[in-house]
Amino acid sequence: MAAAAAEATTDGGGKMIILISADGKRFEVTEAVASQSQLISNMIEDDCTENGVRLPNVDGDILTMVVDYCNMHAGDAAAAGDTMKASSTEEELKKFDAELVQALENPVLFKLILAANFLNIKSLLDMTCQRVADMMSGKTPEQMRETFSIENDFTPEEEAAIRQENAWAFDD
Amino acid sequence: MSPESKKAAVEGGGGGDHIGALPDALLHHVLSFLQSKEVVRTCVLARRWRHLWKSVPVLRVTGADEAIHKFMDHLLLLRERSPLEACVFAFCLYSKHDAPFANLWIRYVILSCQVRVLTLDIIGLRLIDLPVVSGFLTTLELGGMSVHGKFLDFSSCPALEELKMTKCTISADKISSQSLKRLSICECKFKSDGRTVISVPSLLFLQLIAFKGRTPFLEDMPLLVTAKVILSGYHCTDYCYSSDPGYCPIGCTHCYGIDDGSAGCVLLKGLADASNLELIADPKVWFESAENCALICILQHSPFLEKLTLQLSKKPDINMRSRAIYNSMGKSCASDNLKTVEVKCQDIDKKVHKLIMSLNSYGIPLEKINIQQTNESYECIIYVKVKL
Repeated sequence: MAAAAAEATTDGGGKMIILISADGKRFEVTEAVASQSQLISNMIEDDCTENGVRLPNVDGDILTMVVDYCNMHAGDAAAAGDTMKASSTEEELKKFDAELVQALENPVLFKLILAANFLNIKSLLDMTCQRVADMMSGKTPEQMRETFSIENDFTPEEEAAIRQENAWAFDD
Repeated sequence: MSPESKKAAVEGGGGGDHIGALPDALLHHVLSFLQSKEVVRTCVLARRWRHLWKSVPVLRVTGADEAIHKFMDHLLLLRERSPLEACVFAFCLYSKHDAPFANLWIRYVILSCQVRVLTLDIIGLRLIDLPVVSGFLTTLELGGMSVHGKFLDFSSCPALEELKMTKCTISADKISSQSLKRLSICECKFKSDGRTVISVPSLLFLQLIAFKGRTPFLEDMPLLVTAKVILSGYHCTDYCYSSDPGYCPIGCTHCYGIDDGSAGCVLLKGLADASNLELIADPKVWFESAENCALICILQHSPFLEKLTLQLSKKPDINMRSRAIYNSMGKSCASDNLKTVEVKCQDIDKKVHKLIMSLNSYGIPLEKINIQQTNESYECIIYVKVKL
């Protein structure tokens, strides 16, 4: 059986894998789609995806987004599998990514970062972290705190002292 | 923070501090997309952020102001000396006196911070004449700088795989690396008295685009897969009549434009091992010199060639004496393995016909030549595909 499963991967990732979210939702995806996650790719290599892959750290709604993303990007990751259906064009991908990332807000954005990190999907992790960085860029510390609901746990004196200590980065 | 509270913060929804709940490694990843100045400023956000900036694995200092010297000194000395994934210094120096310090910052990130990907775009900076020494550096990008002497001797950088130079002035006798796989030299000026020798035996990909000055000499690159060479206008001094082309003496008077092997072709010899070659130049360079034609030279001397793209730069010279270059040797010089020739051009004009006749005279049958019209800004592109 294991040998047969390994054989099946040679025809363009046709074998299906079941991903199971923390809340028990099941997602059926091809190996080519799933193996964009380095974590799952390693599991496929080790032949331990037979009974579905349980992802206790990832909720169903987040996994839905991850699977959508991976389906969309399967083309560039599985360039070798020539039986794959025509992969999305670069422009479509860019549009899809831009829309996905623009729609992300707290706290979904951070859940997605954690999921991308856990599943080890580099492109998704980069994209979501870049989104957070974009939300921080150009903001004063006060505005950053507001954007991300960061509680300032310094006393005013402490904060002033730290600013003083790092004044070289605060003068414009 | 305990795992429980971390989890609660992440799953809580609403107004919780989700960003602070990310582990350090992920916050570092987020911060690595920001300018270093912005990164440092996060130290006042909350206790969670107080020291995070010190270990972010990426430094980005671009478009800096007059206080660059003060900022750089503080940044480099006060951060932890943790390894750097990447470092981008792209700014101008307001004072001449800062140049030695800029060289010092660069050496510091290479030697002490073990930077892997280094991008330097410090306009007008003359890089110090010392070889780079690093077992970690994989990628080096230089822009708008003056490089001379031993800086381009990468014998002490065994991990270096990619070197990209754009708009640099290169006054070095040699660019050498045993490990380099990708080399791109774009709009650079070779200012050395002698010919710069490029010695990169592991190279897979080469781009040599619109350089000025003396054509560099490419030593053998047996692994070369793809090369793209664009010669700009008048100064393509590619061949040399001296007995040992490439190793010309200072002020060699024998160097001229691209030619066939008889005169010791400087560029083409080094490119002979490529399987995918894209050459862009004035039509004269490639096709117009009858039996001394570069096209013959390429077809004869490139046994591994799979794809050849010859792109003629646009030239509004209507009365050009363009004539077909017939194979005066009367024998086929293209490889027997040649399967297809694709001719892509905007207009199928006389010139294209003549090129096809030329290709035909080199032993490429007409039925294997496909003609396609494209909207490329260049006049004509010819793909020669050789299936091995």
